[in-house]
Amino acid sequence: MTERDSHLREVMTAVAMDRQKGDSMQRLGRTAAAEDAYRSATQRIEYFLDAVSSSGIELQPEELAELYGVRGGLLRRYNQLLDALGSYEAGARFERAGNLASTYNRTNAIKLALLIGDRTLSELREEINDAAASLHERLQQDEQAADDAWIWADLGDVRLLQGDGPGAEEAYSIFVRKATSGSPAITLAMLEKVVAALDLHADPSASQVRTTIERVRPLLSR
Amino acid sequence: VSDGPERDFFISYTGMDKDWAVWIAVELERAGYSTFSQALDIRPGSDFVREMQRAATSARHTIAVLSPAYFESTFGESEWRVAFSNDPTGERGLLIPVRVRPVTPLGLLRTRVFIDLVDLDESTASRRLLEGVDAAPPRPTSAPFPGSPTTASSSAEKNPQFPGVSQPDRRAEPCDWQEVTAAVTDAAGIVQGSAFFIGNDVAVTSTHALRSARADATLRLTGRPEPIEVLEVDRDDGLGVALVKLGPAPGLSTIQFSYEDVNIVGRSVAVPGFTADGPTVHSDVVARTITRRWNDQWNDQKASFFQLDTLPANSMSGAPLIDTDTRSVIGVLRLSEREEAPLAVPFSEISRRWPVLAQQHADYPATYNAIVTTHLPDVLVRSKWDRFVPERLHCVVVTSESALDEGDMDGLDTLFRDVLAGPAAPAVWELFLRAVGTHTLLGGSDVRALPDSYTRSSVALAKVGVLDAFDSAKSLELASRLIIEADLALFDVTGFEPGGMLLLGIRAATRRGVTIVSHGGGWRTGEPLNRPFNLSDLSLASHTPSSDRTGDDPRITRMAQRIRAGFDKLVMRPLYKDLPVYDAIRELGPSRDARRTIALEEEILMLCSYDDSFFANWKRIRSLLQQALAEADIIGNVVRLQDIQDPQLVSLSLYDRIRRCAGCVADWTNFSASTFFELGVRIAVSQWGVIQLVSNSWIAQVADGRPARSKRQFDLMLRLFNPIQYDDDKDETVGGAIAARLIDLRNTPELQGGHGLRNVAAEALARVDTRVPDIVAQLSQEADALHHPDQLRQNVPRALYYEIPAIKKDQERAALERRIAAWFYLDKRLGAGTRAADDPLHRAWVDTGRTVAAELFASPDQADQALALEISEKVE
Repeated sequence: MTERDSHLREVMTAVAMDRQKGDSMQRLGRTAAAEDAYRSATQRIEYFLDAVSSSGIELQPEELAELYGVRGGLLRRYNQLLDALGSYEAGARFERAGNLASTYNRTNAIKLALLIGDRTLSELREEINDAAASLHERLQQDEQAADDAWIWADLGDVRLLQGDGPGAEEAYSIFVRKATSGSPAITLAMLEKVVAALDLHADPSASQVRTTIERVRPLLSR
Repeated sequence: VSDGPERDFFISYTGMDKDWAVWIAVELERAGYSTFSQALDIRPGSDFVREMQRAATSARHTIAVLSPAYFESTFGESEWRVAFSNDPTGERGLLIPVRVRPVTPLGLLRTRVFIDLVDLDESTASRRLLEGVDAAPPRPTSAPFPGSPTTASSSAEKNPQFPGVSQPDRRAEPCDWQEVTAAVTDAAGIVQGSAFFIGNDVAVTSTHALRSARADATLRLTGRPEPIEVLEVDRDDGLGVALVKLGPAPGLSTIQFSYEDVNIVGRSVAVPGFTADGPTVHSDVVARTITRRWNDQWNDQKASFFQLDTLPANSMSGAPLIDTDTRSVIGVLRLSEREEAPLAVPFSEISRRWPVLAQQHADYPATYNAIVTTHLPDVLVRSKWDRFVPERLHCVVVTSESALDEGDMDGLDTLFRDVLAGPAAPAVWELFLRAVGTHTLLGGSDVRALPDSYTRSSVALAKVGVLDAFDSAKSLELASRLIIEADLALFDVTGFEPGGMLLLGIRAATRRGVTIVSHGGGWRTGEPLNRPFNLSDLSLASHTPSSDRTGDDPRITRMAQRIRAGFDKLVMRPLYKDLPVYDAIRELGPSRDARRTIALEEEILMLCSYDDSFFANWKRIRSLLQQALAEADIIGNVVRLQDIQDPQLVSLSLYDRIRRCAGCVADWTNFSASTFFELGVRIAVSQWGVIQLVSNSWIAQVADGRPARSKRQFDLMLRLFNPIQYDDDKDETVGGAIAARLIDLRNTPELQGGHGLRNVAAEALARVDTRVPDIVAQLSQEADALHHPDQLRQNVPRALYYEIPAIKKDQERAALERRIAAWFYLDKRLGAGTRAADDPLHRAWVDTGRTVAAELFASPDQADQALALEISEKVE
């Protein structure tokens, strides 16, 4: 392992700990402590990106996509939604540029746009369909990508947003089998936030999404 | 052959005499005869054995080219025997022996008058050959049509030089000796010896010269200001000769060796070399030939030397000995502090030590220098290393008896050397570094501090010929030590010879390195092969040369791939296996009874052949042994592997018994390869030893040449191990003899009943084995295998059946608990938290702590949350 790899791993381990700590504090209702943990994690990533940038070290597209994706997730957790969206969109650019299997940033950018109420579901239809087609194609061609739990979660998300209940159910069931035991609950929580936001913004597709969520809820809360 | 006309002469010879065979063929064809010889008529890729058999049976006469090497050759005998059996009295002249080197014909060939070409000049030899064949057979009934060649070979191919001793055609070009000789100088530039160049980057000198010049020897040429650096030395201290690999020295002139005249005594010789005053030529006469004996690492050695009349200056040591008649280099002057008389080493002895010189000489006379240079690689094969050096990659190649018959050029040692000296070497080194670079050796502070990148001196390569290994008890000890110490071992198991299988058993029982097992003899990967039971699961390589090869040898590429893959897997899997036995014989289980000795009263294990022909022997021996033991009040059950009523895998039962049974008997009869492999395992591990047997009928069969290939090693092994010999159906004493030895062993003090090789193994392992991994590494590895911390983030593949929630949760929990244990060990036992931030233990403590805390924070359990907080606060 190179020194650079070692630093990246060190940062990501520390970020994972802070994030889990934040989630734990959140569950206990200790919002301030949670926010401290999330902020600490966000800063670790930002310091690392700054340090990398100033030292001229080059990161790979998948590494950058991961860092921006994790940062987006942290910002979203403490309601820095616009910054989170910006982080996901940055990550999405690296996903496209690197032709990566992962669509984590792209799908989260879609979900966050809905959360913010920036755009309606029908306005995002094209991006959703693109993401679904891209995921479908990748999963057909790449066995290693198909091994990645998050890709199946992303496929479940976009199918759900397309109103494809059976398709979403199929993708989530694979996701549940491949993911660590705590991950499906996090996904379900995010979906509930999305549908709440659709209601809030009187999105005409809200009821359709709610129906689909109810269909996959037993699967994700097992 | 089947498509061509019947030939007048089939020429049977061995590779060493190829130049003679070609010369004979051309002389005969010039006289109007047609000939068939391997050298001129077998195309690459053809079925060599089949074509030679056809030629031997269809030609009108067979010429046997007689030399010492011919009588060692298996193929030679099978070729002349065809003609002999068709003309046992010799009346028809079917078999015509032609002697080309001094040798007394052996066996049936003693009854034939031979044409003697030894010591003759070319024209006399040609005349004597034609007179000899003319007298023997009737003249051919038809002369070949002059407009077409009589064989498929071109005339250019059939224009050889006379390979005899008085050879005006082969005289070296007029040469200034100063251009091909050099002074061996020490660091101060003082002349300590002489040398001469046989290739563009290789010189010959004496070990005496190099010793005098110490480590900083360089070669200096007259008129060339810059000394030539000595890069590497391959020396034979017994002969007193060394091959020196040189640094860059553009434009060197070179000379070549030639075989000496047998009647060298009395001949004038010139010895061009160096003294402190500069270049000089010492003139002398060969006074006599003498024989010297010495002990080398393997066994007693002896060699012939030329003794000169007068003593040259010490610094002439290493100079070439030149026959002034033929102007050929026939040896090397070697002076020694211990020898009063000046001696020179004949080329025949030098070529025995470095066979490639002789083979290239025979095969490529015109391009000898270039070939020698090509085949003197960066990594020179040595017969051993004196001690294990933790900074080196130690490799051993174990060659079979059959490899001797096939010739070194196609041998596994050459192939292995080409891999380790070739372009693949740096990649092999990188993987080796990853596999063992962090290992700590058992031997105290010996850490494998390996260099970051490959250099020639980082590789120690030893060759163990199976015949050498069994030559004496000392040889076997040395061979075993090398086999055990080697990080990388390559075994030639062609024919699954008994000696090779025994050595492989020793390796399998003792070392978890990378071992490549390869089969030649025409077998190719994917083809059916009757493998011994123990090797049925092995990924067997093939080193059979490709029949339609052009360009680089694909075997080198394949071998390099295997070696890289071996070290790669060794990195990935702590329990890497490429041979059976290692874990099966160690991992017997934690139970108190699992490693208990199985007493004679319970079971006596018999390792033997399962061939039907042995069944009667087995029944008799079992019965006689049980009777004999009963007389000593030991009611024992003698069992073979297949008699053990145990549902676990056969291999597990076998190695369990080999380790634990106090009584073990191995019967060599039938040469069961599995038996010899198991015998090697038993010898290496058991403190109780093994009683060895062989039937007299089998000894007689082997003596009679069945199986042909293993006779020499069998003779050596018989002498070395001295098994109990019994008559198959008459001997009533064999049971008593075995029982007596078993009871003797029972009464032998603890750990003194085993074979001496067990001690060799134990001592070697104490030097080279790595320590049991530390507890943190072991717990972390176990945890990672159950549930990797990067699993979700980086899509690390999951453990088996991870999709089942119960299994998933169990594995995640088990992984977490191991990581917690590792963290507490780092924290409490090693005090890692108090160490400097850049200390590896401190970094491991932080990293493990964060991973553990992250997982504990995700738990709904309050105690887990509290522990997560405690750990996270400590590590941040």
